[in-house]
Amino acid sequence: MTSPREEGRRRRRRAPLPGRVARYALLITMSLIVLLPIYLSVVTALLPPKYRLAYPPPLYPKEATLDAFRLAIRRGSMLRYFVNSTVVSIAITAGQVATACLAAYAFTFMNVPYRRTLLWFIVGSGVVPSEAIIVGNFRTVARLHWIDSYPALIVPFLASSIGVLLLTRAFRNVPRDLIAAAQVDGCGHLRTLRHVVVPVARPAIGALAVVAFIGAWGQYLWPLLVTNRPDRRTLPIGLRSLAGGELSSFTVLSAAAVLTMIPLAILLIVFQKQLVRGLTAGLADH
Amino acid sequence: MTRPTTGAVGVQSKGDRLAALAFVAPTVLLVVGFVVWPFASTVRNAFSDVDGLGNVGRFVGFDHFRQVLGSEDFRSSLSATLRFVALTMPAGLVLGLLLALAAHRPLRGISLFRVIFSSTMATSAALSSALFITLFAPSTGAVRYALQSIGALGGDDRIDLLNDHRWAIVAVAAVTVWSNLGFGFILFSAALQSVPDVLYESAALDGARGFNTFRHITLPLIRPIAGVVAITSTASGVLSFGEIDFLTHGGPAGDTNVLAYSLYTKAFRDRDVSSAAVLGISLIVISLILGASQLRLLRSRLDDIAA
Repeated sequence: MTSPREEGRRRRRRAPLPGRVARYALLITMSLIVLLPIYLSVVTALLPPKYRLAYPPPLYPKEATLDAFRLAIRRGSMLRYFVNSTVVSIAITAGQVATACLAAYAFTFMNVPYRRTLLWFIVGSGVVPSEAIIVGNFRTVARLHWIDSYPALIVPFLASSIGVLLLTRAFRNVPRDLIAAAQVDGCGHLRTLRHVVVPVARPAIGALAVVAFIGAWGQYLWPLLVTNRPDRRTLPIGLRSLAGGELSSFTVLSAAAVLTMIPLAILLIVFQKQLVRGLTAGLADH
Repeated sequence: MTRPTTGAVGVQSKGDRLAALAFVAPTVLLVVGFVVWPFASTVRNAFSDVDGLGNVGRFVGFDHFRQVLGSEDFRSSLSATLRFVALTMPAGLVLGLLLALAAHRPLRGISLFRVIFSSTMATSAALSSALFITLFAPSTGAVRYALQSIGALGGDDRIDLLNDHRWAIVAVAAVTVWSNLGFGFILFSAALQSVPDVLYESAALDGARGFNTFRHITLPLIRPIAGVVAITSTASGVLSFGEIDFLTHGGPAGDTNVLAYSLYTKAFRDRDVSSAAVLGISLIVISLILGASQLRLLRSRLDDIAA
């Protein structure tokens, strides 16, 4: 008989071979299901024009060409959409981090009048879905003559109630002695925030940044409403117009989709940890 | 004596209260400008006559509510929305949990599978629609090919899922579920990791195996997060717009004309601002109910920071 301790240790060390094979089979099957739509799009994007209407659809690239990618970039203005999406997403991310840092710092380390009320007001505003109030925001932006401009795509999203919540939680773990010491050294609040709080709370800030960026990158309804000129579109709206426009061809659309996905996929692989932390903030860290 | 964890550090002056207000001002002003203000105008539009140019006329009480909520359009939008949620939420929940369970215990190369399972986080409504619209193509799509291979479709038959009365909403739901797989996977993985190993070991000692362990140990402990995933995906299902606009434009014959899409066409195609406002308020009410149940799940954690 083995003691419970040894038993546990052995179980952890190595599962029996048939079990491992079964798990790999399961994992590979699931991966194929997840990746299949992406894989088939890559194959379609690589097809030369003559296979465009081939049936059954090719399951691997018999002949590969980058024509569709070239067409998507040159005639489909994917580069323009890419620049727009990048500028807008980075600006929204930076803005949300800045406004949330300031508010969370005040809520944690300063005497904010009506603290509770303001905090609930900000958190509560996150419950209102932007789709429900979109007409009012559209009117505001139109009245400011912001249609077809970056401010229309950026300014309405510069505050984040979830961000304030996340960072207020995170800042509480910054040792208060550090703050006091910084103030004794003559640091103002902004300098304390930048040089003491932000470095300590970097993981949470990184998490907020990644989640904010993904959200901004995927926006659909709002950019659709406030951009009319093709050169102001972001990637999702660019894809939409490619699907419906005169360039309408599955090879070009697939190429554009693959191009859209590559930068974000790389980003997510690099920032996997921040992504997980951002999505699970406040849920799993018992 | 316990030390305070929030509130001012050091000596305070009147200037500090002003500084504190200045720090929260950007967030508060943005919320007022882009949430409170449009919310107020939505309420006003719902209770008044508004012409096509947005000029607000007289107060009409609940007239618009009676008109919109009693209409056939609204009933069909509500039922499309509920069907959509019923198709996306449970499937997302089960598949997310399955992926997380498969990738949970350590194994050589497991981190590669974790990256693959979370990879749909890199997609958005537009992107996943663009990927799938090729697969759904009536005569050249992979879905037609797959259906023919298993004999569900005759050799010469085409299948136009996105224009099919029965299948359009299922197809759009499938795209949405696929697109959200990464989200469910990540949340459930975190939930599984929060279950202490000790519990599994003692359960194994008590003779619990496989499904029993899952039912009596894992499931109760991940229930709060499962609740959060369910509520989040219900909320995003209720508000879904991108996939529907991209793939079906609310069609065929209104089968996928969910509330958010109906609001969009009412406001920006029909210029019927008041009806759109009523739909907006119904979306807010639904979101409030969902938000309140989420708050209940996370209650302790919120009180924590508000204290």
